[in-house]
Amino acid sequence: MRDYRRFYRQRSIGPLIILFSLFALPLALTIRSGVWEEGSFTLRRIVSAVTDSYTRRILLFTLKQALYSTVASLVIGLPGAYILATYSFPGKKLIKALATIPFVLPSILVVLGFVIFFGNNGTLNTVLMSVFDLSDPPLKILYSFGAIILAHTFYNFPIIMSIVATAWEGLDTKLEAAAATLGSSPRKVFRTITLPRLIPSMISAAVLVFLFCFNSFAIILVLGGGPQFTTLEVEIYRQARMMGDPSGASALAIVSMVINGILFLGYALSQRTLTVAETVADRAFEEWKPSSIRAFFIVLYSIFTILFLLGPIVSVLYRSFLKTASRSGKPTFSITWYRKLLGLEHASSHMSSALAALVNSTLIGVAVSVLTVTLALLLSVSIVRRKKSSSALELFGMLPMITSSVIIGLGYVLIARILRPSLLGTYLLITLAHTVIAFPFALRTILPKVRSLSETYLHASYTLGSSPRKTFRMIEIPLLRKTLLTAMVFAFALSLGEFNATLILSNSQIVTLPVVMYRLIGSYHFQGACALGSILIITSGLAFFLGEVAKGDSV
Amino acid sequence: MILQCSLQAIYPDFTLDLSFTVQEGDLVCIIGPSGCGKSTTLSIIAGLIHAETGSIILGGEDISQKEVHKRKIAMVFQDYSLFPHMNVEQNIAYPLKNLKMNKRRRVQVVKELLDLVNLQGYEKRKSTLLSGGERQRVALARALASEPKVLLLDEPLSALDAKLRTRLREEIRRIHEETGITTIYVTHDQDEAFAIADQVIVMDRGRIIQQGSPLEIYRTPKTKFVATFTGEGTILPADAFARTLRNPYHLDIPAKHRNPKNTSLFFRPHTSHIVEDEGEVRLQYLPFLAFDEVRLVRSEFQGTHWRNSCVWEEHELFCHSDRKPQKEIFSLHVDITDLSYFEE
Repeated sequence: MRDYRRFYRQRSIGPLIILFSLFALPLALTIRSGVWEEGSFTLRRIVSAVTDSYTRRILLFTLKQALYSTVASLVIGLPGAYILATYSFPGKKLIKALATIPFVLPSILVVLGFVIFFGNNGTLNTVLMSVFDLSDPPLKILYSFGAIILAHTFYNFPIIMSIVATAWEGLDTKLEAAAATLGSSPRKVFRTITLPRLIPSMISAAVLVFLFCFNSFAIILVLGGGPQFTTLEVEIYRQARMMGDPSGASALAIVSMVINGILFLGYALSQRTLTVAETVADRAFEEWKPSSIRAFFIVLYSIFTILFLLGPIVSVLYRSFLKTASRSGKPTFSITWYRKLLGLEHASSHMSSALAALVNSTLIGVAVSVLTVTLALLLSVSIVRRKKSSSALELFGMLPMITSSVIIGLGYVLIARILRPSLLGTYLLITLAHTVIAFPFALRTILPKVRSLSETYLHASYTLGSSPRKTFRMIEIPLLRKTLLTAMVFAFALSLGEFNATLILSNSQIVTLPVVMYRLIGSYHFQGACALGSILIITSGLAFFLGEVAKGDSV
Repeated sequence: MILQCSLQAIYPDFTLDLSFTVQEGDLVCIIGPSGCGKSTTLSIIAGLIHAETGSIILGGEDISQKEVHKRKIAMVFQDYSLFPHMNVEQNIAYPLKNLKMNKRRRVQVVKELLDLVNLQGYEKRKSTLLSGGERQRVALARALASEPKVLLLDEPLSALDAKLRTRLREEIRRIHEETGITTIYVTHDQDEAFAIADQVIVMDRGRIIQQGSPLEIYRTPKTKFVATFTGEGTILPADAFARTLRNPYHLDIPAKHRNPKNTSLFFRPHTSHIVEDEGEVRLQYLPFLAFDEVRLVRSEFQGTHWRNSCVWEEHELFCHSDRKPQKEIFSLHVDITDLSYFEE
């Protein structure tokens, strides 16, 4: 046993050094830049980041929009959790599957979907105008505070719905039955027996959503549409990129990290209380009765959910095939945007860089997926096989999750300021930043599968005369093949849709799919953006599909 | 090759401290209750776990510091551990590749091994679609393919149903005789051990209690633990011997056990004869002890015999009989050669 533990220990050294330099180095540079001024330590910038009226307003707005978004997500998500946990009805599976969409959808795509769906010329308004014969779009919600909250709610209510529904389904219904036999009314049973056991999951889901909204970037940047709706992350980007003040951005980043750390701690604590599992054999769902008043609400909620979740995505796909001849002309079916994308047709402005963006994003994505999965595999096997200090390693691997992608991007901006890389070098830095961002997800995909892989396969291989190296190559990797492939597709999709860190690292010469999409949206060139967005939808869909397939099988 | 093991290691549940020798070509069964350290012992011999001190001497060479894959000790695991991403042929050919065998020879050897384990034509089957018994045979063939000097079997039949267990243990014995590989077989089932072993080692809490041929172990267990673990039997305090037994042949406890306070008398249930009628004539006239006024408590039909639980004075007695006892009270005769003694 000694010999093969040593084998895995040796395998973990390389990835640990690489991960450390990829993640800890930019982070250390950020912190140093935030507290270092003219060769000495100072808290001046951090103090002014909190006390300065301008940044304090931003900080308060960030917290406010996150709070509003969380409350809105709870209001919309909790009824869904109740329905999913209580009833069985046609379309339930579809809703459960759709609820995972926001987890895999790149934020720039959410932004685009929103503009296309809720915009003044968007799908919703077009439908409403033709149904009610209106001449003006009835919904004017874009580029406002409401748009931010709405987009966040779309992005996050499924998280509330699925986390709370899962917890709810895990509750032992015998306790409710017991309370009822003790003379409690259904209302009282819910209040005294069901609700108290659900609260940990609600808190957990709410903190997670708050965390996501607090770190939201693309949605604020585009849908906020102005300096009055600036959050901490957007301000970090603005100071680092537009004002060329990375030190100020670093100070803000430190503030953001501290708040993130506190929120994450809260999330971790609420998770711990969640692990008190009840033993429940098989939950019986109430059959739905199509005529009841409850069925009406179920149908209403289902339609709403499907419309809300699928609408923007379908609109993007649909729009990418439309061409409007003139400003007032009727749109016709056309693949012209795809031809322009591929350079088969002359394209103007940002659309002309679409092909380059596609190639760049694909190359970066491939590099990121190979790098990420290799590192995650090596770290996973050493976490599982070496036993000693494994939880510390695991924690280290998950750390990038608590750091927002804007801040990781900022760290790489600081590296770029030192290295002054060429264009190719900048692409390399983008690739490394993506690797850091994708790594925790790859680790979370691979690590449980490595854990569940029975060690006797390895023992059998050793006793049959194969060395640890050969066993790793011939037994372990082939047995994990599906998982590794899934993780690679995930990492590829994440990299392809990664916007935040890329934007903060990019200059006008850098083109990737999300960055070009952002520029297209910024210049109101929506159809082109939709063609690019459709590519993202397909890769995200593939990642989602593979993830679902991989969930089903075990080694 | 002769295998000599001397192992010491401390675990949370027990302290392992044992030494034993396995003769060349023998099949040795290690039996003992779960958690007694028998599987741990196998893992140490295979090299999957390291003992703190001790030596494993195989054919004169101490292999205890050798890496697992260089020991030439193959192991068949309880859950078979067939590689799920390989078919039957690939599984068996896997160790052959480590022997640097060319492809044609490999195909040939796989075929021979499949013949040996009675799975002709199974080459292309998926290992995940085999039945439990078939998996076990493939696992055995795969282990043999590595040309081991010693074969270790860790409860190889425990996941199978009773009928299949009986058939497969016959096959394991046949394959052992055909290959002549020194084998250590761990099981918690004494019937299995008695059926196939040349030597049986009984373990308890990390120590070897007794080693011997199956017959020795069964007939003359050295301790109460061995006696009760390897089957049913009657245990009586030896002072009862002198006090209350009818002893027509004036037998006495052997001199070395003559310390009545902590010596027990033991016999197996099938070695005692129920005598319902004193006039009854027994065919064999060996010296015997007689227990009078034995009262029948319960009689169970077992197929080949009746198993009778009885009470004599305040002690519980077990005896087998070919016929259901007709009387409630009878005498029980035990041949002197079937008696054994052990100190508490």
